[in-house]
Parts: sequence; structure tokens; C-alpha cells
Amino acid sequence: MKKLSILITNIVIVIFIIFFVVLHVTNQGDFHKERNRENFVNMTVSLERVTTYYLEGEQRLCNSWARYINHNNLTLRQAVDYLNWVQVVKNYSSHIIMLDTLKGLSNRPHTDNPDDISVSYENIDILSSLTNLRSELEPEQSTYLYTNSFDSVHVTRSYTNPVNGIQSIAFCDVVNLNAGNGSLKKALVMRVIPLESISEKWSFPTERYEDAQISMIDSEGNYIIKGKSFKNSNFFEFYKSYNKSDYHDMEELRQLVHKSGSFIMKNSRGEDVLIAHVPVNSASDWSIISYIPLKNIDKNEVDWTLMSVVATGLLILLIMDIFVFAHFNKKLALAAKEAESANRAKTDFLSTMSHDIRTPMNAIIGLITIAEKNIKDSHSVSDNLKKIRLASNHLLTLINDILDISKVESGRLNLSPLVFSIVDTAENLVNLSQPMVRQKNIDFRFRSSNIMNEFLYADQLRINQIFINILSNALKYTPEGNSVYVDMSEAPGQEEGFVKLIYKVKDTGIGMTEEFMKEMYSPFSRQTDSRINAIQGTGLGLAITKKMVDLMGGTIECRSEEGKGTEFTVTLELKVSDRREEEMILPPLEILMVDDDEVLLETAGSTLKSLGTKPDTAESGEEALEKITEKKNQGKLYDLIIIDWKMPGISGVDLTAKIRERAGKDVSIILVSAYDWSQIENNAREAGADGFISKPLFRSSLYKKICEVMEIKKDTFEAEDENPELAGMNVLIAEDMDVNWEIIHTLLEMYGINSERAENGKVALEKIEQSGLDSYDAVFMDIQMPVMNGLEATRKIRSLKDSRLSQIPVIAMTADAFSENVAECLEAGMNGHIAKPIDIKLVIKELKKIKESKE
Amino acid sequence: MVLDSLKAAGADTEDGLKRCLGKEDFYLKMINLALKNENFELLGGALQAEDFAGAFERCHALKGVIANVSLTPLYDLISELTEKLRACSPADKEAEKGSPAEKRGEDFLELYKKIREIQKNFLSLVEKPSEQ
Repeated sequence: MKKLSILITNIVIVIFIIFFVVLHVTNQGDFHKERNRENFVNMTVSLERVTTYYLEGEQRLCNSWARYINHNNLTLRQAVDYLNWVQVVKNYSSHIIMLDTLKGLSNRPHTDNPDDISVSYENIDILSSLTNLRSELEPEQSTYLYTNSFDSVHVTRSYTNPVNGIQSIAFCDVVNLNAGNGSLKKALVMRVIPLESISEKWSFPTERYEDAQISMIDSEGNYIIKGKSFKNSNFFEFYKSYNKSDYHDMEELRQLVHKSGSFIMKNSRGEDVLIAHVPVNSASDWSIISYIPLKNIDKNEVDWTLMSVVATGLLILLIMDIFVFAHFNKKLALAAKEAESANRAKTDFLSTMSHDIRTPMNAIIGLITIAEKNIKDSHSVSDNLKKIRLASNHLLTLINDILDISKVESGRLNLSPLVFSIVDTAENLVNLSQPMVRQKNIDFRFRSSNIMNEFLYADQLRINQIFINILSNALKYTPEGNSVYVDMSEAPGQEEGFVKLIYKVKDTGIGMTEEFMKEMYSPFSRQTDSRINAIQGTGLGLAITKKMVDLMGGTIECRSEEGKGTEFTVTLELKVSDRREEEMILPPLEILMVDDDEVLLETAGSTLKSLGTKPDTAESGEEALEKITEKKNQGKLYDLIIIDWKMPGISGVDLTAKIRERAGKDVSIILVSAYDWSQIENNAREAGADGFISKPLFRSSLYKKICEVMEIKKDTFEAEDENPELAGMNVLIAEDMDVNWEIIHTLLEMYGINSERAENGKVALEKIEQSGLDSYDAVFMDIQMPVMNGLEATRKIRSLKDSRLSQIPVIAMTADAFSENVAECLEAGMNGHIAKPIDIKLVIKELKKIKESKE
Repeated sequence: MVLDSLKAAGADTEDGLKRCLGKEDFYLKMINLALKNENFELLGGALQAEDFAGAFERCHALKGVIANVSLTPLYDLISELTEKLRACSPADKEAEKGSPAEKRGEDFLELYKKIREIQKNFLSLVEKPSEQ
């Protein structure tokens, strides 16, 4: 509702603004209209000025002619000749008529008869229009005074020139002509100008009034000059024809046009036109009338461009505002909703948590009450105490979980990565799961495949937590006698230096319903089911696991079917540690791998193959025995047999004994077990097993165990360029024998290590005493030396006053490898012991250790 | 050539060469140096003087030297003599009681003779080519 009202208000405001803009623009238009009209009238006035000047000029010319004629006392004929001579413009003409007869001569001949120059105004009422000259026009009145100086314009109305029939006007003056015999006769000099040539001169000077037209009328309304749009022959007639008017109106109009002003009338097409009228000063009964259609003068009424810009702008603004508001509203609503749901989640969490805590707490209180009642029955008390301990442990787990999850949720859980061995982690997992596996007699298998990088760099603790949570869930919710299989594998990571660790736990347990799976990662969600009520749990495990997986940027997937089982797959992208394992290559040993688990046979087989051995597999004890017999018949033996301890049919221990019977002692036997083998060790040793190895079978653990059992010395020789960091070290060699010194000196030189010789212990001691700090990184000390032996020298070095000198690492180098000799060396304060003959690899290893510890 | 003959005489030349990082010249030089070690002479003197403690020291030193060049037959004998001499060092009184010094002295000398023989044999193998 609110939104709608805001929208409506906005629209109303916009409409108002547009309305006012329109109003303003219209007003401006009206104002402009007024101005335009005023301008138009002014223009007409100025035009009148020009007209006046023109008329006066023409009149002056006429006056000057009259003056000449009078002054020279010319006859009619002489005067006409003079005029003919003086008037150059071809289509203008001059007439002189006698006032008594109204006949006279023209200076231009008739067009039809070039010899005829007579002119007669008998039929033309010409004199009546010369009102201000009237007194002079009486032919009898002899006392005429011709116009000596300019007084006014004497011009006729328009009439048809009797000589050539052209509509003309005439400027006039009176002269006295010599009539012979000394008498004078009054005559009228007329300068006759065709209307056409006058009209040509009259037009509006600006383009703005393109459509404007001009007429000049006399007092009767007759056109002296006639614009194209002026109809009829008389302006008043024109007015009457197209505008409703009575006699009174016409009289008013007659008065009006001889004053300055303007009015509006209809033209011949019924359009409104503006008429401006100005009297011509010099001819008082004439008026200039200008004409313009209103639509032309009122052209720019409303500035529609401005209007549309304003309107569009406002509309865009409005729409944008609406969108922005809508967007913010949406965001706010979302945030509010989130806050609300977070709040509710917190409340839910608190209430569930309190409930979950109360349950074991109630048990504890109840058990304490029972114990108090039976305080004397020690058996009952101890039983109760045991139960209290269980409940307390559960409570503690719950609180720990709550702490964890609140840490994760508040973002305070930081990962602290470190280098760790995934092999150790897996072994730990197996150990942890043993009690439950044994108790519930679960078929538990932990298989690893393709683990190429033992050392990873990550938060081991959290990874452990993830793995344990999932595994313990599987064990918890898997009924007795069912199976739990764990598969750990490695895949190439997406980035260089990373691997994907895939941890898959598959059980044939009770499974989960689809509904439950939807919310299984939210805290305190436990499936409520009669089957699991007996199983203890906080309902926080999966929530924590999920959060931790998320924190590590990994994924967790789950497939489950109620009653059939569950499979969790965790994939973590982990950094590979810089720590490199030794290159693990075994001789091409022929190995027989015996296990009932096909998957394990396959993965272990490929691991063994990658170690350089030739593995063979058998799925049961019987098959293994057959294969061994077969081999024996060919006169061969397996070098090593790896046997799963727990197999259907012949057990691992029994099989070991049988193999010993058939193949004798020359074959080595390793027993594999996912269980803690301390309990079975004695039996197995008696049966003839050479060693034990725990599942899962990692590359590194297999390699180590096989080396140990087969007594394979690790070929640990490294190329010189693999230890560039050792170059530049300074080593003191206390050695009395030249050969030994030569050899070790040369070998060290190859690694870029500088060595200095001391021929005996005393020299060594002196050299160290005299050396500056840090001049020797280590001392290799022969034990048997003349003058002072290595042990004594070492003791003396250790008792030096300068602690930095006395702390120098000393490594014994001796041909004796008995343990008591080694102990003696260490007692004397030496840091290590290397047996002769010199193994440069060991020397380098010691130096590396020293270097690392220094850093 | 020389290496082959050394190998034929029982030396673990592969091991020795590896220790010398595969440098044959250096290895032969070391063998030469080791075989000409003055301790061979000194050991004899000490044994004859029945200075078993001194003899042990010499012998022990020789053991280290010969071990480095992997002349296995020589090393084995020197090791044997070293252990025998160690057994009659003053610290080991029981052993002293066990057999009379003269008897032991004879034993030692016999072993020493063998050592010298083999030493000379090896020396001849090594020196031959160097003289050529």
C-alpha cells in the first residue's frame, strides 16, 4: 500500500511540474505574441516614415518644376517641352491641365497615337482629392501664389491615366502659364506615377514578416497601394465583405484607420489577420495598412522541444527512482529475513542444546540420587559411578562439539596448517576405530590407493576431525556383522603443488531417509528413529564436519538409502609438502599378495608394481598355496609373501605356518592386519612371520616394511647438485691418516664444502680456539689419533669458555661401529657418529641436519 | 685394467669407486696412498716389541684407511687383527688372563705376515701401471 501511494505521489508531482511548465511556456508565448504584434505595428510606423519621405521627395520635385515654369513665364507648350526634357524616367509622365477646362498637354504621347499629346481630365474627378489645395484651384482667382516653399504633399487619389490607361497617382502644384497677350492662366502641373512602380518600392524590410503585405488607402478606403491579399478595390469594402459589420462599425473603422493602431479581422479565407494602420503624415487622409496572418506572427506559442525534454527527464527520473527504491527495499527485506532466520536458528540452537545437555545431566543427577540411597552397597555405587562417568563423558563431548561449532559459526576457527604424514593419519584412524570394530564384529577395511605424496601441508587436526567424524558415524550406525569400507586415494590437484585427497567411507548400515539428508548438516539434527535411539550422539558431528570441509574449500557428498547403507565422500584439495620422500624403488622382487579383498589386492598390487616389484595375487589361502606349490615345482620361490591376517578359510597365521612347511625359511612373510597386532604377534612369530604391517597399505609403509624384512639397504646416494645449500660450509676434519683426509677432503670438495685438516685432536682444539666465530660449521673427529684422541679433544672443546665455540657440532668418524663406542662418543659430547669406511651420503646427511638446526 | 686386476684380487672396486664418486684416478691414487701407509711398518714394529696397545692403535688406523679404499681381503685381515688386539688391551683383563702373551704375539705376527703379503700383492698391482 505504502509503495503504491509513494508511486502515485511521484506521478502527481511529475504531472504538476509538467503542467506548470506548459503554463509557463504558454504565458511566455502570449507575451511573445504581444511583443510580436507590437513590433509589427512599430514596423508599420517606421514604414510610414519612409513613405512620408518618399511622398515629400516626389512633391518637392513637382514643386521645383512649378517654380521654374512660373519663374520663366512659360506658355503651356513651353512648359510641356520643359517637362518632357526634365523627366527622364520612361514610365513616369507629367501632365499640365488648365484649371478652367481641365484639358491640357502631356509630356508623353498617347500609346495609340504618338503625335497626340493632348490630355483631358474632364471625366475624371481629380481636383476633389486635392483637399488642402482647394482654395488655389479656382480658375478665376487670379491671385495665386504658387508654392514657394514646401508646405504639404498634394497628391491625387489613384486614377486611370487618360493618356495610357495605367492606374496612377499624381503629385500636383499650381502654376500660372503665359496665355499670350500678357495674361496669365492658372494650370495644374501633375507628376504622374504609375501605382505599380510605387508598390514595388513598398515591402517589409525583414524576413521575419515574410507574409506581411502593405496597402495605402485614402480617406475613402480606396487603395492607393494595394497588397496582393487585400481584396476588393476599397479597404472598407474588403472589410465589409468578410467581417460582419453594420453602418456604425464601418464609421468607427473609418475613424480608426486614420489613427495609429491595430486590429484583427478575417481575411478572404476566413483566417484571422492582424491589421496595423498608421496615417501618413504628409497626406493627412491617407493611411498605411499592413497585413499579416495571425498564425505567422504567433508562430512560437509553446516550446514543445523543451516540454518533451522536461517530461522525458522527469519520467526517467521517476522510473529510476522507483527501481532504486525497489532494489533497496528488496535488499532490506532480504537482510531482515536473514537476520530473523539467524535469530530463530540461534534460539532453536539454544533450546535444542539445552535439551541435549539436560538429558545426560538428568541422568547424572538421577544416578547420584540412587548412589546416595545405596551408599552402603559398594557394588551399586561403583556401578552408578561408572554410569555417571559415561554420562559425563557424553556431556563433555557435547560441550566440546558445541564449542567447535560456535567457533566455526562465529568465524573464529582458524586453520593452522603444518606438514603431516597422511600415512600416520590413516594409521591413527585405523587404531581409533579398532575397539568399535572388534566390539561390533564389523568387516572393516581401510584401503589406500595411489597415495603418491605422503607429506601434505594442511591442518592435520581438522582433517583428522573430519575423517574421524565420518568414520565413527559409519561405525556407530552400522549394525553388528555389517561392513565399513574406507577408501583413501589421491588425484591430481587443480593447481600445481596441490593434490586432491579423496576419502570415501561406505557402510552397509541403517542409512538415512531423504528428508533427513536434506538437513543432516544443520546442528542438532539426528534422525529420530527407534533404531538409533540407543545410539549416543550429539547431532553436531556432521554439522561440524561440513563446516570444516567448507573451511578447507573441500566438498562433501553423501549417498544413502534407508536400510541399505551410506556412502560419504570428502574431497579436499591439499598442498603437497616440500618435504620429499626418498625415491622408493625396490629390486624386482617376486611378491605374492594374499587377501580376500579384491579391491585391496588391486590397489596394493599397483602400489607394489610402482615400487618396482613383480606382484602376484591370490584371493584365498588355498589359491596362495597352489601358486606357491606351482612355483616350487618350477624350482622357484617367491621372494616375499604378504598375507592378510584375517581371511575366510585358512587364516593368515595358519597360512604362514603352512607356507613355512612347504617353502621353508627362504621366503619372507609379512602379515597384514587392520588390527592392533600386538595381540597376535606371538602366534604369528611362532608360525614363522617375519614382520607385520598395518592396513592401510601405503606406498611408503610397504616400502619401509619390505626393506626391513628383506634387509635391503637403501640406495641413498644422491647426486651432488641435490645439495646446493651445503656449498660454502666450512668443516674441520680431525684425521691423522693422509688417505682418509684425502678422501673426505676430495669428496666434500665435490659438494662445494670447504674442509680443513687437523692432524690430531690437539691441533683440532687449537684451531677451534683460534678460529673466529662461525668459522667452522662442524667438526668431523677421528677417535684414534696420536697426541690427543678424538674423545679428549671433544671434551676439551665442550669445556671452552666461549659458548658459541663450545657448542660447535662434533661428529665422530671411526672404524668402530660397536654400540659402546658410539655411546662413548656421545658421552664425550659428540653430536653424532659415522662409521668408516666413509659413506659420503651419511656425511652429507649429518651436515644437512646441522645446517637445518642452525636455520 | 688395474681395476680389473684389483677386482680379481678380491677388492670391492665398485664400492670403492662409488665412494670416490666414480673418479678412477683418484681412487687409484688413494689405494696407492693407503698401501704405502707407514702404519704397516709401524704395526710390525709394535707387534715385535709386544706393544699391543700401540699395535692396536696402528692396526685400527689401518683398518679405517683400508676400509675407505675397499680392499676387502686386506680389510678383513686387518679387522681380525684389530679385534684381537682390542681384546688384549688393558681394559679387557679377562682376555689377558685367557692366553699367554707370547702365544698371542705369535698369532698376531702370523696375521701380520699375511697382511703384509696381501698388501704387497695389491701394491704390485697398483704400482705396475704407474711405473710404465
